This record gives sequence, C-alpha cells and structure tokens, in this order.
Amino acid sequence: MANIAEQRIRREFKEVVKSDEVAACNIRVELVNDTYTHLRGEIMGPPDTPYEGGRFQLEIKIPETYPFNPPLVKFLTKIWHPNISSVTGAICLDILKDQWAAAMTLRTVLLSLQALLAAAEPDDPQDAVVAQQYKEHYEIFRRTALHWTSTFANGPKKDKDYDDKVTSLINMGFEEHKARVALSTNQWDLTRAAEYCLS
Amino acid sequence: MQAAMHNMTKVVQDKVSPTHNLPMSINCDGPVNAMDMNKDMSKVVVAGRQVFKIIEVEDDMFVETSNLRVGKPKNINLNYSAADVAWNHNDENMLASAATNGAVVIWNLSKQVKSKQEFVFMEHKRSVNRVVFHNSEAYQLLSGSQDGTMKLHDLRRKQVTLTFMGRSSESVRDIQFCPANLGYFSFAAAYENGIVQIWDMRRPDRCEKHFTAHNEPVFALDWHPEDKHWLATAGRDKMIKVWDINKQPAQLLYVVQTIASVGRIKWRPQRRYHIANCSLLLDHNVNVWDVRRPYIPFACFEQHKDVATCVLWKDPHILLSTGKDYMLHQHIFQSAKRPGDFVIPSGVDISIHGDVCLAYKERTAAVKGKEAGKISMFGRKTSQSRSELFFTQANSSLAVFQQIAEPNTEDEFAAQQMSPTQLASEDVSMTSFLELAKKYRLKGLTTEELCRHNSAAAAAVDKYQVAQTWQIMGNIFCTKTSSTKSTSLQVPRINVTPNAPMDRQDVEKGKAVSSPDNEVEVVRSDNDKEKNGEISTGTDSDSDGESSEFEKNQLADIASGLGHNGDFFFGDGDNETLSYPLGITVQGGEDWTQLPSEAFQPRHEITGPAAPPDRLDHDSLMVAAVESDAVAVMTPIEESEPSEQYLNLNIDCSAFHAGTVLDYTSTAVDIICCFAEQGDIQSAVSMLIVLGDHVRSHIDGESQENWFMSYIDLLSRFRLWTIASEVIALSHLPQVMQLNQSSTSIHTACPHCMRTMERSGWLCDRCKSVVNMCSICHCPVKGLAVWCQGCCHGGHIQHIQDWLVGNILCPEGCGHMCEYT
Repeated sequence: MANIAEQRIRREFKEVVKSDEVAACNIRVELVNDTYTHLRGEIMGPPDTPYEGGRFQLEIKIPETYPFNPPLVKFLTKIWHPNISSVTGAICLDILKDQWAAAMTLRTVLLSLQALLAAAEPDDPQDAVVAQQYKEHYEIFRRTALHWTSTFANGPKKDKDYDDKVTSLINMGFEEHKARVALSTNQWDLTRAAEYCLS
Repeated sequence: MQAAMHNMTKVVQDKVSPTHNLPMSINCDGPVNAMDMNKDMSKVVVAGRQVFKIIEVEDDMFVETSNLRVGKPKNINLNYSAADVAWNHNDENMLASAATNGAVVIWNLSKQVKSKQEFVFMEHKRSVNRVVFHNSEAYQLLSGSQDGTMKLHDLRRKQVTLTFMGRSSESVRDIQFCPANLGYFSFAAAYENGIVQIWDMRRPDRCEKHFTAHNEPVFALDWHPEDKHWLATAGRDKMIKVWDINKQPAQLLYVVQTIASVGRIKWRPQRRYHIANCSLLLDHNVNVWDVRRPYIPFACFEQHKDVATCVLWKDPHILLSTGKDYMLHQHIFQSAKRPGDFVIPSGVDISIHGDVCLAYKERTAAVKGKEAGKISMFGRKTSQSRSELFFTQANSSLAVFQQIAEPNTEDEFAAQQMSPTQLASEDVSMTSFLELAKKYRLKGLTTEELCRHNSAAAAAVDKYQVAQTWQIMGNIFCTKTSSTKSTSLQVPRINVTPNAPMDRQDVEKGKAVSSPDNEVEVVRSDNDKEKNGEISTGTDSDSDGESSEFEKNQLADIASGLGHNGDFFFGDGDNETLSYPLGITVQGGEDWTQLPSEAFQPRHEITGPAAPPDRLDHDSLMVAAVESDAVAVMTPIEESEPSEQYLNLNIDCSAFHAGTVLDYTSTAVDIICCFAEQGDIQSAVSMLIVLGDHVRSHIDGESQENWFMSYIDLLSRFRLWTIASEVIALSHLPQVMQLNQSSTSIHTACPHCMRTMERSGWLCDRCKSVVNMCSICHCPVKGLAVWCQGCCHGGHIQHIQDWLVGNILCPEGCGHMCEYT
C-alpha cells in the first residue's frame, strides 16, 4: 500500500474512533486485518426513517491509489433502499464515484451514507425495483424498508402483516429470502409473489 | 619742515628701493609693553614695567638715546611703569604713558633736567589701558581705563575736560581716534564685554554707534588708514573682524581666524587688505594677514622668542615690533616668511552627484613635472606592503590632471573642473562601486575563475590596480594545483627526451635565434605566471603526439622561446621548497661561464638515477624533468657556446624561483588589509570572500566583521539588497550571518480564526488545529506548497499534480475547477 494512502487511513481511522459520532454510537469502524486496506464499517439507521434503530454493516476497501480514488464501499447488511442494491449491497453515491474529493475521509463517507439513508435519491437509482416502489407506492416502500431493517439489521420495529405474508409464502415451500424478495418486489401481493417465485 | 623733508625722502626712498632697510633689533633690558613712534618715524619710545626708553632708528641699527626711567630708586614708582605709551603727533617732545595704578603721565623731552616727567593725571580709579593723542589737536589726550571711563585731557589746562562713560561701565581696552583726514571728532572704544562704540568727542553723554563685535573681550581695534568706514577689531575669541561701520547696524566684512587671543592689530599702510597682529599668548609671531584669506597668514615674522606686545608700521615694507622677550625688532617685509607658500593649496569637494572638483595652485610651467609628481604621491599614499612593489605603475592613473595654461595672476590659484571621464577613474566615484558590486562573482566557480572574472570586471570600470590585484590573487592561490598537474603530466616526456635522436642542426638553429628571447622570457616569467600555466598545458597536449615529432616541436619551441617557458615553469610554479641538487643551485649563483666543463659534469651523473618514469615522488620528478631537458639539449652539442647560454637560463631560472618562494598567504592578507585601510572596502571584502579559507584564518575576526558590516551597510544604502544578502550569506562569520535571520520575520495568521500563529507556522493555538493542510494527504505542508488561486485549496505540489492527472475538480471537494499554470 502506498505510503500516503496508509498514512491517511491511519489518521482517518483515529479520527473516526475519536469522533463524536462514535460516542453517540452512530458510526463505527474497525479493522478486518492488520493492514489498513480492508475495514468494516457500521452505521446506525438515521432517526425518523424506516431504517431507524438498524445497524448496517459496511465493507470498506481502500484502493492502492487512495486518496486519489475513492474507497470501495458496499453494504454487507441487506437493505431496502433505492440507491442501494438489495442484492449486492452496492451503493450508488456520487461521492463514491465521480464526485470523490481527496478531502473526504472515512468519517465523512460514513456520515454521507447515513445521510443517504435519510434522503434517498430515487431519480438516480441503483435498484430500479425499489426506486419504482419508492416513487409509486411510498407507503409500501416504507413498510418494506422497515421490514428489511428489522429482519437484517436488528431493527426494533416489526411489521406483523408482512411477517405473516413471508411466513405464508415460506409455508408454500419457498425459501425465506426468496419469498421476502418476491413479496417486496410485488408490493406484498401473495399471488403475484408466488407466481414470481415460480417463474 | 625738516621733519617733513625727511618724511618726503623716506617716501621717495620707499618707492625707489623699498628693501634698502635692514632687519635689526635691540635689547631693551626688560619686557616691553608698548611703543610708539614720533611723527617722522625716526625715534621709538618703548615702555614696559621696567623699561622706558627712547631709541633712535638709524638706517642699519637701533641706538638708545635716552632712558626716561631715571632718578633715585626710591623715587621710581608705578608712574614709571607703563602699560601704554603715546607720542604726540604734533609736539615732538611730548609723550604720554598709561600707568597700571590709574595714572596718566605726561613727559616732556625738552626738559633740561634728567627726569622728564612733567605732569601726572590721577583721574582714573583703575589701571589705564590705552592713551592716545588726537591726530591734529596737539593738546588733546584721550585715555581709556579699566574703570570703564574714557577721559579727554587738556594738556594746557592740565585737567580733564570730558569724561565719556558707556552705559555698561565695562572696562575699556582700546581706544583709537579716527585718522585725521577721515573723521575729526570720532574715536572708537573697545570694551571687555565685546562691545565696540563709536563716539563723537563733542557728545560725551552718549555714543554714536554701539555694536557687539565679539563674544569675548575686545583687546584691540584699529581704524583703516584709508577707508574711514572700516574698523578692525580683535579680541580673546582669536578673531580679527573687519567692520563697515557706516552701515546700520555695522556690517561684518571679513573675519580672520587666528590661533590665539589677539593683543594688537595694525593696518598695513597702502595695502588695503593687509593687517598685522600680535597675540597675547601662545603665538610669538607677528603675523600679517590678508583679510580675504582668513586662515593662513600672508606673512609671518618669527624673530620674537616670547609674546610680541606691540606692532607698528614704519612704512609698508618696514614693521617694528616689541615683545616680552626684551627685544625691539625691525622687520623687513620682503624677508618675511610666507606660510601660504608652504601649504599645498588644493581643495577638493564632492558634489551631491559624486562629481569631484579639485582646485590647486598652479605655479610656473617650469615646475610642472614636480607638481605632477607631488599629486601622484598623494594618490599613492598607501602602506608600503611588499605587494606594492609589483604594480606601482597602476597607481599612476590617479595622477591624470590637466595643466592649466593661464594661471590666475592675482592669487595664483587655478581651479579646474575635472572632466567626467577622469571622474570615472577616481576612487570616489560611486558608479564604479555599483558596477562592481553587481558584476563581482563571489561564488559558484573555482577561486581562479572567480578571480579572473572579477579582474575583468574591475578592469571594465578602469580600476586597473584592483584588476591587477585580482589577477595576482588568482595566480597566487591557483598555481599550486596547476603546477602539480603539469608536473605529473611531464612524466611521458622524461621517457622520451633522453632516448630521442637529437637533431643538432635544429638545436643550433634554435640557439642562434633564441638567446636574446630567452633572456627576456626569464624576466617576464616572473610576473606572467598565468601565461606560463597555459603554456605548460599546451606542452602537455603536445606530448600526446608522436615522439620524434614532439621532439622537433619541442626544439622549435625552445628556439622561439615559447616552449622554454613550459620547461622551467614546473620549477617556477611549485611553491614548495625545491630540493634541487646542490650543484645546480650553486652553479646558478656562480659565474658558470668560466667553468663550463665542471658545470655540466654533475648533471650527467644525476640524469641516470633521476630518470625512472614510474617514480611518483614529486620533487624528484621535477628534478628529472629539468635534468632531462638539460641533457637533451646538452648531450649532442657538447660544450658549444650557445648551449651554454641555454643551460644558464635553465639554472638561472631554477635558482631564481627557488629563491623567491614567498609566503603568498601573508602577502595576500597584506593586500586585503591594505585595501581595507585605503577605504576600498569592496575589494577587501570581495577578495576575502573569494579567497575564503586561504586567508580567513589570518585576519582577525573583528576586522573582518567590521569590513563586512561596512560593505553591507554601503550596499544597503545603494539598495543592492540582493547583493548585500549574498555577502551576508557568504561571510562565514556568525555575527554577520545572523543579520539575515534576525532582521526578517514573517507572521502568519490562522485562516480560521485570523489570529497570528506565534508558536509555529502550522498550528493554531486558539483553534487547536493544524492549518494549511494538504488536501490530498491531510498533512501540514512543509516545503513546496501549491494552491489554486480560485478556491484557495491546495497542498503538496506533487500530490496536487497527481490529483490533477485524473481529476479536473478541486481535491477539497469544493467543486471548483482548479486551474494551475
């Protein structure tokens, strides 16, 4: 790893550890191995959003050319969000792509992601299905996101209706995650979800 | 009538042969305070504390005719001691004396008794300083006293008719009636408080004019014999002042500065501007001044051994004086010493533009050469260091003066404005200083190159002496290296020379031409070392060529006297002690021509062992080179006459150079110190810097510091900051070098809170944050920083460069499209 990149990451790591947000348990970062190339981040779901209370794991990979190129970040925790792939966890955020600035740090990146959860950008989606749902059936989107958060990110609030629908679909013999994706994609319509699973 | 006739004769005699009279003197047996002459100037009365005599003035001697101080010792009182004496201008027999007890004594020489004392006025309370008879009124006597009053005595009524008293009642030191034909009733009085008053005899209540002439007591005054408005005054403030009292207030016309308090002054008759004076103390001379030339006496009489007390003009060419040394002298003006002739009357001044104006006295054309010599001496007034011997000629540039064709007849002064081109060669011209300051190179090259460069620079501004010195400096400190070089390169030659076939014809032909040239070369080689150095390298390249070819070239060179230089150069250039075999040195000193065979014999013996080419011993190589050359020439020719001459040259040179191995460092130090003493601080400092370690340790640090400071100060005055800074950096003196650090401070402010950052340039004490961080690596930038003028973001230049390879926007993320040019 280039000297400048490692130096920077060390400093930024310290900065996050010491920051106020860590004290408030909003963000966190930890080393995966001894080198600073691979980090594990965690952000809290921002309040007043479907993601509230959830803890979302992030995989952060520092490229050799850092800080000239942005760090590679993706969600490890499954999340229902227009700008984040519900399948891969890939993030669609300008600052992690062409709007990257060398002045940004791990902390600002994590905070930006937190902000992204609070303010989705459906017109520039990463996940088109979610984005469409977000725009056409926002209430369903909200409940779905809540459901996903409670399921994968230890969210405190549960949606009984949706849980039941997932259970019924599982009872129909489908795999749980497949059932959940099918229901989420089909506005929680059991019939269409079943068809979706079968197709 | 007889007197008038006598006077007439005198005048005629004066005109015909003014120098007929002889200087003469007489001892008066006591200190003389005053004297006066009778009207026809045939007799002199001298008076003092112990003296009261009438002395007849013969043509060739003084004759004492009568002594008025006679009588029984118990009768001789203070009335016989006179502070002043006056001879009546009309009555040949009447005298008046002023006594220190306040008495005014009238003497009548026509009395038949031994004591001539006629009457004593006891009107003054304190001592009387001056008594004067009126010029025309025979019985009017005026006295001035220490008690502040002046009394007019009527000698017929034997009583005081008028008393004049100034308002201040200061002591009266001198009174003089206005010359008869100019102002009948006027007289002037000098007071001890520096005031001079003009009185009219008819108005005793108040004076006509009143002015302060001096700051200290006025001791003497004298009316001008021709111009009734001119009055000269003199006093303790050592000045003689000439006033025009017609003006209101009195106008000061001339001031003559003397070296001591002035006791008496007397205008010279028939010479409008000449005035004689004698001093109260210190100065025993009687000086005659031209009031227009106030600092040097026009003429000076040095006969007195003690203070002169009184002076009198007998005529314009004869001056009488008395002194405390008992002597009465008659001085002939022609024999006077003229101090003005002994000074070199030259004046130099510098205008604000740096132009120099020189005014100097132009004598006759006959002494032109002498004069020029003097001036060049002036230019050469330097300490006689040994180095001076080598370039005395360079100094002559200072002596370039144009001769004035027509000297001023009146005062024989000629003033001349020097032409601008001459000014340029003058040391005081600052343009050359500026030029040199800019052109001198003080670093970046070898010492020799620097010296050569600076020499050229100095020559370009016509400072030939400095240029020469640079060249010498360059040679002194660089021949060491070049000489060792040439010596080592000499090795292949040693191989070749003895073995090569010798063309006898060549040699002989060479000798025929060479002898006289060589003689010249020996002399020149001394001061033309640089040339030698070049030539020696030239022969190096020659030696690369084919050996027999080389031999011919070599011989041809010898013949022309060129290659010859190279031969003895390696002896010449070596500054270390040369260990030549004793035989050679001795031969050089002896008259070898008488013993030719012995002279060569030892050389053959030495050649054998000295020749091995692979020996690296420095000295033996040198010897070998010399020896083998000599042998090469000598062997085939045997003992022919030309070859002997040639050999002689070799030996002579080696002996000569061995004898003149100088401690060059001390010479260089002398030169530098000499420049500093002369005030050419620029040369001194520049040489000090260029020569650096060679001389630095030999000059004490304090002088060095002084020189540097002076030079830096000068440079700063001419706003040559860059050069001054360079000099500071090159000074090697901690006291000087700290100038660059102490006088420059840059304050930085925190960009966030705008507070000045005191502790360091990158940490704000108040914000507790690091400022000016690199946008890329987030480290404070120490060193080269670059930032965008548009958004003020930036950082390490390398990081920004790398960033901009892949991005066009600001690395700080501000969205600005940064532009760097």
